[in-house]
Amino acid sequence: MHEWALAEAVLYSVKKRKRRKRIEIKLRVGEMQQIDLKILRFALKELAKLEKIELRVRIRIEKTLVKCRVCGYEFGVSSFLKKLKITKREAIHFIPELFSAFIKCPKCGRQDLEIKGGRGVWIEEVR
Amino acid sequence: MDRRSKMIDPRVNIISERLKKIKRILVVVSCKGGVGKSSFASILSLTLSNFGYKVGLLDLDFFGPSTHLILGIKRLRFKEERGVVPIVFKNIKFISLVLWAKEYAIPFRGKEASNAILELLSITRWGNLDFLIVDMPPGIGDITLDVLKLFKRGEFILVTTPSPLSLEVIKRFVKLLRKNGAKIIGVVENMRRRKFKLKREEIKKLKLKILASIGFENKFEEDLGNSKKLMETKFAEEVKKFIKEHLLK
Repeated sequence: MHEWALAEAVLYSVKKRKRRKRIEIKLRVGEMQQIDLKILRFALKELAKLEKIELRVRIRIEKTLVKCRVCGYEFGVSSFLKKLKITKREAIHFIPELFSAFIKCPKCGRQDLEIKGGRGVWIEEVR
Repeated sequence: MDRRSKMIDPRVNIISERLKKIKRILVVVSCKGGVGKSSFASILSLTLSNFGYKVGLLDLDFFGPSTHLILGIKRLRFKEERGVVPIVFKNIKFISLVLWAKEYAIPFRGKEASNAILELLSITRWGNLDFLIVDMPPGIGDITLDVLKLFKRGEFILVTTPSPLSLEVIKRFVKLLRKNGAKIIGVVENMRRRKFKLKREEIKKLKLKILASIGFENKFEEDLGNSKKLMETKFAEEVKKFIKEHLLK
């Protein structure tokens, strides 16, 4: 599962900053990547157990906002993602930037799109 | 201050872990397109694999990915196991954005390309490799600058044709690469014809070695997509020579 690779990356970053047995982290997860939060939490806990770390995880979903660089139109992506075939949704799950290969601006139809927010996994806080 | 700047991107830290079991990273670059860079990267991967080395090939030419076409990789399905497991073709571990984008063009600006590279490198499980060959887009752009930053052990191989126009472009290109910390192991001259070759003294002035000089082959284009036939070309012979005389010394 891709979520395991992300969990590994998160835990690796956290361990570099805090060498403690009890760590609390706050994650911001972008909507675009369609991360399975259940799997992400499970993976984080399991990986932390292997390191003998007691990990507390809080996750916040950030809604994705896309902006067309041509006409300036800004739009959300949930309705677009739902309409895509599973193979394309999966491609975006792995490489979110690929959305611009599959989605056009609903206003002008161009594919010069920028993700303004709600992309990827970020560690907001480590305590 | 923007709150986002205080946040940690976990991808950046894990990349060195993902790459740590790779002994050497060879980055194949060119100043211009159409010089045979991807062909060189592909045949280099095949040849090293035939020599018994563990090889990976990473196609970062997002705008014109072609290594899968050169090698004749038809089945573009990767496995997932706690990350992305590269597909294996002729014992070469292979990753390219085409595994996801398929036949769709990839309209990336710099920021998108940088993010895609971070994503690819942070989720791909290469395992133990003797060589990772990286096929780059032509010129120096965001992707080259990202690779300079992320592949600190990268060894650059510059592929060029003997066109008189090449030399001036090479000089600028090499200067820029070196300013940005690149270790350039040398130049591969491709599509050489009898009276048409790179001025050796000029290359020497740049303190560069000519690693291989590959003659123009009429038949070469016909063999693209057939890895068995590619290995029977004069191109492949020169790559074998390069490996024995420069890479394995």
